[in-house]
Amino acid sequence: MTTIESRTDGAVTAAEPTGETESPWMRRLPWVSGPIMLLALLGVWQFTVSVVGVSEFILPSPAAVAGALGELLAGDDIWGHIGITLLEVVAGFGIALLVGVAVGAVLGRVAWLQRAVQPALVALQVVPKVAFVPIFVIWFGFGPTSKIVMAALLAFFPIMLNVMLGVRSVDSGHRDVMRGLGAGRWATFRNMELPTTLPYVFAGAEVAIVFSVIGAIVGEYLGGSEGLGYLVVSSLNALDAPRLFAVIVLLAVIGSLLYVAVTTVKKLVIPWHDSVRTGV
Amino acid sequence: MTQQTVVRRSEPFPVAHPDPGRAVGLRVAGVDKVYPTRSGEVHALSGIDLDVAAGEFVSLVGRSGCGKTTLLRVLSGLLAPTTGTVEAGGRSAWVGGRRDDAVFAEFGLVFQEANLFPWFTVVDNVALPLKLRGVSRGERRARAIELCATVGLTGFEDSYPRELSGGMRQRAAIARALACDPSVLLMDEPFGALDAMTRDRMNLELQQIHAVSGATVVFVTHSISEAVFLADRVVLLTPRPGRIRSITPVDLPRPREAEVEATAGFGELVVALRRELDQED
Repeated sequence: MTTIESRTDGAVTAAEPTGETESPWMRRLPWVSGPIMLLALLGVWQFTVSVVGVSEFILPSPAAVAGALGELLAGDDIWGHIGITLLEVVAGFGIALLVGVAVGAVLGRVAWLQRAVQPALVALQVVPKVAFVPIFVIWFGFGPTSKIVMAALLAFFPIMLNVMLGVRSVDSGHRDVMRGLGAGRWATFRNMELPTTLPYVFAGAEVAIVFSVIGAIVGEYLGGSEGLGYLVVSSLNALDAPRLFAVIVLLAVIGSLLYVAVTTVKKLVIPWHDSVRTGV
Repeated sequence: MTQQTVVRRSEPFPVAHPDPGRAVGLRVAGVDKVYPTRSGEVHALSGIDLDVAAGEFVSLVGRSGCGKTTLLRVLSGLLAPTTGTVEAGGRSAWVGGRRDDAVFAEFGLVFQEANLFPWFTVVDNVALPLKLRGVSRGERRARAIELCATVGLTGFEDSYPRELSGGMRQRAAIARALACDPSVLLMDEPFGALDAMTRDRMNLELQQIHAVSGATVVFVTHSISEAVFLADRVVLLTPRPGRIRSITPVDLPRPREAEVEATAGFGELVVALRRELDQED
């Protein structure tokens, strides 16, 4: 077809993009406010210790915690503990991701099945799942397996529920487009259903990675002799408050890094999505 | 005036177009469409007979709920008629309740909403029909860039739909519909959501696209003046159940400029059609 001369020069420039534009100032704000809040926290903390005079057993000073953290990281066995906890979290999360996507996709598509299993899902959801840890210890032993199962169980629900919603969220107008083009099943899945569902998968994954850390740590609290959760409990038993705080700081850092890892993958896979653009 | 121009079920208006071999005519015969709903059946279309000649531009007008969108969806193969037949280029579209995809392969559809995929850039959206046909990446990109130029989207090829205004999105949707060089273009109030000025401009562009491509166009609108401006024939539908009330040939010379709306011939057609629409109740 020959190109039709556009009579509407200026139409292009006249039309303003409707997407919100974020000023560079807004973009940089979290990078400024984050350190400020951290400094404020440390300040209040130090103030409470040195001026209010809280006991070292209850609240060790930031310096003492930093010292304990340095000692911890210089030790030989800490990396083993970190490795075990990471293994449990990542394995649990991975299992939850695979099973959650599969189950969510099936339940999202097969309405009667979803209705049928609804009561079981609700029951499982309202039960405090960490209560199962002792049972998993009986079934899977004191090793990493019981923690992986706990992490997977906690992480499964946000992923499964989001995928179920995502599969149902295909726009009817988009469906018309694909049907109008006579697209086959595979092409429809690849070009429409999968991209529609991916943001939901990531929304679930962002919650799930946090839940996996919780699952693994709670598992380690209750049984076993390795992992950062075990270190927390052993520090408590030794009444070593600085070390207890140091392990918790380590956990916070690891949890944050894992979360950042998930959001980074999200930014790479669905750069077009609103949640990536606005950073929400 | 009205008695002469408003002809019931007239013969297709003859249109000259540059590529008569490729364009495809449409035929709808005895089509009824009944939807089952909770409060009983809804008779959306009743006894629709319509012939659209190859290369012809037909506008469907009527009030909301008169079944014009339903008729277009039946024509585009998105809805199966309850009874009756739909043919394109002499081929039956539905065989034993199954859609014959080959019939619709050369159709281009434009909806009220742009329905662009937010995960694709403008070129990728425009190239989607080519992608589904297995055209190579480089080739379809080149073609999509060409189409973007056709609809005045040069410079926005690699933008995402959310970065475009409503009018630009609708242009991209039209470019997508044109990607496979359709022999039939079916458009459902494509400019309904646009402001009046953009709409006028889009109408001029659409007229050019029609002239150059030689495609058969069926265009749904609730604006009588838009229908008259664009069409070779205006089909007026009345609601509950949707029936064809009249078919009005528009023999205004082409190409039509915006000034045509100020002519007496244009005004008379619009007034006659409006009067007819008002007579309904």
